[in-house]
Amino acid sequence: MELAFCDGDHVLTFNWIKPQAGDVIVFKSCDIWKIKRVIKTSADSVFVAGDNKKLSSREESVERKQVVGKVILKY
Amino acid sequence: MKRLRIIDRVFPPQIVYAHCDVPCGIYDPKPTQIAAETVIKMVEKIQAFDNKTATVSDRNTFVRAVWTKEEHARRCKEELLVLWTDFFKPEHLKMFPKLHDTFWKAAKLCSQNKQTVDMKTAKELKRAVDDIAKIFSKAKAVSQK
Repeated sequence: MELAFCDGDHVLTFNWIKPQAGDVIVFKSCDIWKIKRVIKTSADSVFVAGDNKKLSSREESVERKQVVGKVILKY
Repeated sequence: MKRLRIIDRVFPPQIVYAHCDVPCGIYDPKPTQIAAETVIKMVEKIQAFDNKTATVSDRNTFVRAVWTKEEHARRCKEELLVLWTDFFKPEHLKMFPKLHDTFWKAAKLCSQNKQTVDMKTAKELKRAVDDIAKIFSKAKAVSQK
């Protein structure tokens, strides 16, 4: 997610907002929490990808129930 | 901004990753095909075993052939699951509506090849993984456009 987010950054998420394309979200996947940018949304899922295409080339489909929240603050 | 880290006292932070592992993006159906071919070879060897004239060395080879068949059927299933769950995406289902059924049957054939010593079942597995290799090539060609 560089350059928007780097190792050691802290983020605060909020889960009362439905993620829209362009938002950065935290979601649960493979027993870990991941941070990626939303590319598009559908009724049940959001499609996400990393900003850093060299290191994060794959798009992922994330079910809405996996979403932890939208990133609202980096600190 | 460091001052804001007082928030962490109220909401203890969790580690979040940008990706789950080394994002190599390397997928290939070849390992499934090699494993399926090995299963065929091992079935051939096991069926050719003559219990009446076998020496200790022959019996050792027989046991190794059984173990190798088991291991390659397991490996084939594992590689199939990687392709199925990691490479293929929901959008591929539109191109290949029978995708899930194809993978499910191929994975089942891996298990059947562990349970039996049957050339027909071994060849069915090879046909199944070859079909998946063709689907994979088409899907990859589309994603590279």
